[in-house]
Amino acid sequence: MERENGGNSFVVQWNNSDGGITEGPLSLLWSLIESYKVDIFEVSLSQITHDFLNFIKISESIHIDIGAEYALMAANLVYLKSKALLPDPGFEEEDYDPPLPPELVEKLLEHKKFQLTAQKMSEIDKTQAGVFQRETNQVIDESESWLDLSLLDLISAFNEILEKGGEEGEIPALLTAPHRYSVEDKMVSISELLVKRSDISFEELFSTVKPEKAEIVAVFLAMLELCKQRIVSIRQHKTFGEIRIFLVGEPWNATKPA
Amino acid sequence: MIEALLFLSGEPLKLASIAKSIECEKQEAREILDELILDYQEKDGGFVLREIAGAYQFSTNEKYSEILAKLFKEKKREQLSRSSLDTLAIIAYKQPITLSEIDDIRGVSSRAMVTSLISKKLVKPVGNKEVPGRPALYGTTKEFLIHFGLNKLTDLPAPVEVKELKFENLDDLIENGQE
Repeated sequence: MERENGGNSFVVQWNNSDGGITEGPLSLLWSLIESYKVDIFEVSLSQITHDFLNFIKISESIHIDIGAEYALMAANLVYLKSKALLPDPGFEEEDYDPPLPPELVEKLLEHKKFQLTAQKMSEIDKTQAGVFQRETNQVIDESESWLDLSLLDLISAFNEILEKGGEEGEIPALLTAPHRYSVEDKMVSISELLVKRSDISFEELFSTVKPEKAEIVAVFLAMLELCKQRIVSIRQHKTFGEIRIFLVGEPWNATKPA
Repeated sequence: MIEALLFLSGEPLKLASIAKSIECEKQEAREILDELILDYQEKDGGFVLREIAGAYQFSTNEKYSEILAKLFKEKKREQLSRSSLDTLAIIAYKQPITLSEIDDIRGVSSRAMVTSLISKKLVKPVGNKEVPGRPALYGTTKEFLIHFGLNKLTDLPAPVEVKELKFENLDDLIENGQE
């Protein structure tokens, strides 16, 4: 888009890839400043305000939605301009043309600094995209291939088991029926299992293939509690995605105060 | 021996685990590793040994990056968009930083950008700023270091200092990336 303005035209790029309208008002100000071809400290505030407002007008006339940021910047510019127009005891000149206020210049410079820095980083990004590592599946240390797993993974594993779970024993029944499973019992039984074997899979914690919901919940809570007390650690295998529980601390026993 | 270990391993190896594997002191292992890194650097062959994000690993020489990227298109990881990089640069150099501070520098809302960087695991919340509202503070992750092939944050290139910008030398800046 071009517009004649007192003999110098400026061009604003519309593409989104670099410095277009989508890049925000600061980038637009830069495009304007660059079109004046003067030092940033010599840019005229009224000129840039005028052009900025014009730009918004033109954008509206060709139906481009521009963000509130632009309106805010425009308002700011007009405010700064009006402030600069107030009589200043130091200046008695009729046609004093105020420069950009320092706070705006600072903002613009900071913005530019990161734009240029980002450019540098994109160079690195480009180079590194073509740097490859050897790919082998030799794993030196067995324990290295176990990842600590996130709560999300754990929840999804829990959900899987829940879906497999039997239909009997709906959770509301828990509130009325006596508890057949207590978290504490499960903590003891998980610990006992782990003492016998150094690690077990998540599924093996349940007494049956189709556990009841109540049992699943109890086991799950027990596991979290053991984890919290640093008695077990739960890890997921990098390649197989299977979740296993490892004994890391002293086995739990109910008599010992937690 | 260390060389053999690194050659076999697909994963970057930490100094501690290297030292443990060959049963020697960390100090000793480090000296050997530094020597190896130099050896490969001087040789300037097809691959180099490098330390990224605190672990050692063989990787292909950067000078073949362009051609390898062409040859292994499907393996090449995607590059970040300009606006992601803008946001990432601000976070990398100014961390820990809040969302509104990022918005302020960019002049546009950056929430979507930060969210996408978090989903790419390059950025993570690192705490809260102790001001009213306790906004989240963001910083870069270990994956960020790996992504850019850096060992530590201090290995990032110095930010471009812009003081007196004239339009003429702006072009030079962009071309040369002023140090």
